[in-house]
Amino acid sequence: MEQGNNIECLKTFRLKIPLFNEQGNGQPGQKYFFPDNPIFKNKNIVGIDLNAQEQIVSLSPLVIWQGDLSADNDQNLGALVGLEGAKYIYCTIYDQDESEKFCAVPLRSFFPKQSYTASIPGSITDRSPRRVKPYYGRVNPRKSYLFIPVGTATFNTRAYVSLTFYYN
Amino acid sequence: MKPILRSYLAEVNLGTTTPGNGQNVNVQDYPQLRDVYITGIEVFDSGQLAISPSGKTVVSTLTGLTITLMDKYNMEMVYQYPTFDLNPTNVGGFYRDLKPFYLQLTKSYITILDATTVSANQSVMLNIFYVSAKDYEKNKNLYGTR
Repeated sequence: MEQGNNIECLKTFRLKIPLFNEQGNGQPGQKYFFPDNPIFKNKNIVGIDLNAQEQIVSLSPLVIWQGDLSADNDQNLGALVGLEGAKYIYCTIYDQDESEKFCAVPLRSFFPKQSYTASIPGSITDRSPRRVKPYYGRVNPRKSYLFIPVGTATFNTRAYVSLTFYYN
Repeated sequence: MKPILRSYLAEVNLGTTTPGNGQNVNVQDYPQLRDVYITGIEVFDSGQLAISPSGKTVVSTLTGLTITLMDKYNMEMVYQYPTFDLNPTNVGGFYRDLKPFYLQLTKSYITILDATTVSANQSVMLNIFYVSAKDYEKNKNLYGTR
């Protein structure tokens, strides 16, 4: 993970964070906590990346916001949030020392260079280089959460967010 | 890009009436951003953020806005920097590293160059990367300072 990449790390892992309650609905004004995961323990995170699904945001003119991942084929999960949905979501991450480390980071901060096309199908698309944001430190998943502000339309059933963590 | 040790999303609301050309809008006080060294900053428009955490709409374009960041000695360390260039989407995915300085947020401000690009009650979203003053000594080598 050195050449051609702005992040140097030993390993990565991907975390899926559900944006829904037990009924499968996501409601604005709610916090959705990270699933507890022992992999975070004593690991030093050196970068965080958002994985988003391709999303058509306009048909005329055709605008497709290209993501980097398809939804998991998991019957417990629905749609993976795309770049349009990510505009409504904030992420707060706590340190393992219980302090608030990254407060209300827009999810789009984890997908810093938007790659998109505003053209007809089949034409050349713009897949600009993306860079991993070097968010750094130890994460406490039990206190970290995603937040959807009040005023946002309800999300798709069983929507979820995918984040890749780079760590040493 | 240097490591991001801590970050805080600050919201600058433009007020209930549309600001005029040349008007400055100060950043409000955030207790978390007192006694900190700023290490970097990024700014977003409505292309990345549809709604702020407090429910306000986000400015649709940044070309008519600049930012000035003051240090504790009232020096303009960043003076009228175009906010458009602080949006990672516009600069190849990078955020702007700053040589850390002791931030005085409440004297820092946004300047409206072109009021036609903004509307009343919209917000400018600043994601501020920082190190608290008490942790600065042990982390300053990360930022190339001695």
